[in-house]
Amino acid sequence: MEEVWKDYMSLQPSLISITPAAAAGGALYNHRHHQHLSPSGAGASHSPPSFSSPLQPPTPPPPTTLSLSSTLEFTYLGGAGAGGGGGSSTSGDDSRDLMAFSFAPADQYQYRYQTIMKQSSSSAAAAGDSRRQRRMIKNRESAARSRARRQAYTNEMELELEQLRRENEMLIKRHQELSVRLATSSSAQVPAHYSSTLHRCRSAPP
Amino acid sequence: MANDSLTTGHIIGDVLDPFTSSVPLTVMYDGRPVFDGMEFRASAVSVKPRVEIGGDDFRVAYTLVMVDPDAPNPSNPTLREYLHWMVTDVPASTDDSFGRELIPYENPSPTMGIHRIVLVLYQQLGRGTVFAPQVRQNFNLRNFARRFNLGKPVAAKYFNCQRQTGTGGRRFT
Repeated sequence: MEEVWKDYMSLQPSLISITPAAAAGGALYNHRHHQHLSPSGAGASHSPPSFSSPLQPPTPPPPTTLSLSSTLEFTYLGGAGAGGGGGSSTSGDDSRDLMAFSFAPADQYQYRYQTIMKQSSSSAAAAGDSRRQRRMIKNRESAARSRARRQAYTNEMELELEQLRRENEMLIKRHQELSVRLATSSSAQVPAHYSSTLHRCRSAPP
Repeated sequence: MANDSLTTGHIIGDVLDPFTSSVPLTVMYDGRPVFDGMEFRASAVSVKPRVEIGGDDFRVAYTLVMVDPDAPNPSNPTLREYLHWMVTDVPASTDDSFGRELIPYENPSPTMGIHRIVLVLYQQLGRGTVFAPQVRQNFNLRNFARRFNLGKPVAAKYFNCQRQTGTGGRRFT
C-alpha cells in the first residue's frame, strides 16, 4: 500500500482533482488550484484541515486535496467525483503539496481512502461516514450469519445422508438374510404339493 | 453429533452451552420432520408442531421450550430470547400433547431478517417443578434451567424462519 501512495505523490501535479460536481469540474479544478496557491484557509471547507492530522501517522502521509462536503461520495465517473455540493475550497494545507487522485486507478482504493476519511472530525461528514461504517459492519455480520446458516444446513444434511445410507445397508442385509431363511425353512418343513391343496379338519361347521 | 449444526449455527454460544444429546427428539411440522438449519417461511410454522420425545420411562418428565434468539432483528436482537412455547411435564416416549402448556404456542412471524428458532428439551427432577415467566421477551434459557434445576439440555433442534414474503437470504450456490 505504501508504494501506491508513493506513486500518487510522484504524480501530483498531473492528476485530476476530485470535484463535487461534474458540471463544474473544470472550473472547480482551476479554482481549487488557484486557491491552494494563495493559501487562504478560508471557506466552508471543514474536512481538509482536520484531515491532515489523521494522515500524519500513516507513513508516508499522502497529501490530498479534496473538495469535501458532508457526504463523501466517490463514484467513479471517469474522472469526476460526485460529492454532495457545498464547500469546494480547500484550506491552506501549506505543509502539503497539492495532490489529487485520478479515478482510474483510484477507484479500487476508494474503500481504503474512505476509511481514512472517516477520521475527519467534521460532524456532518463523520456522521455520514460512521453510518456507512456501521452499515458495512452490519453487512459483514449478516454475511457471516448467512455463511453459518449454509454450513450448518449442509452439515446436517451430510450427517443425515450418512445415517440413512447406513440404515439402508443394514435393512437390505437383514432383508436378504430373512428371505434366505424363509426360503430354506419353508422348503424343509412343508412338502411342495401340500401347500396347494385344501385341508379338511374336524373344526369344520356341522 | 447433531451438535455440529448447533455449533455452526451459533446456537451453542448464543443460547445454550455445549451438551450431548441423550434423548431422541423429533419435531414435525405438518408431518414433515425438521432438520437442524432447515428453512421455513412463517406460514409453514403457523400451527404448533408435533414434538415426539424418546426414552422409555413414563415417570421421567421433560420440559420443552421454543425460543427465538434473533428477535426482533438478527443484527439487533434486543428481545433475545423471545419465548414462543413452553410445555412441561411431558412424559418420556410421548409427545407434546401429553404435557402441560405453560406458555401457549405463538407462531414465529419474523418481520426482519432470518431468525433462528430453537427447541430445547430439558429433563425435570420431578413433575410440577417448572414455572413459566410472566413475559415472553428477554427470556434467558441458561438462567431458566439453573433456576428450576433442569441441568443441561438433553436434546435441541433449530430451524430458520423468515417472513412469508422474505427474499430468502443469500443463495447457497
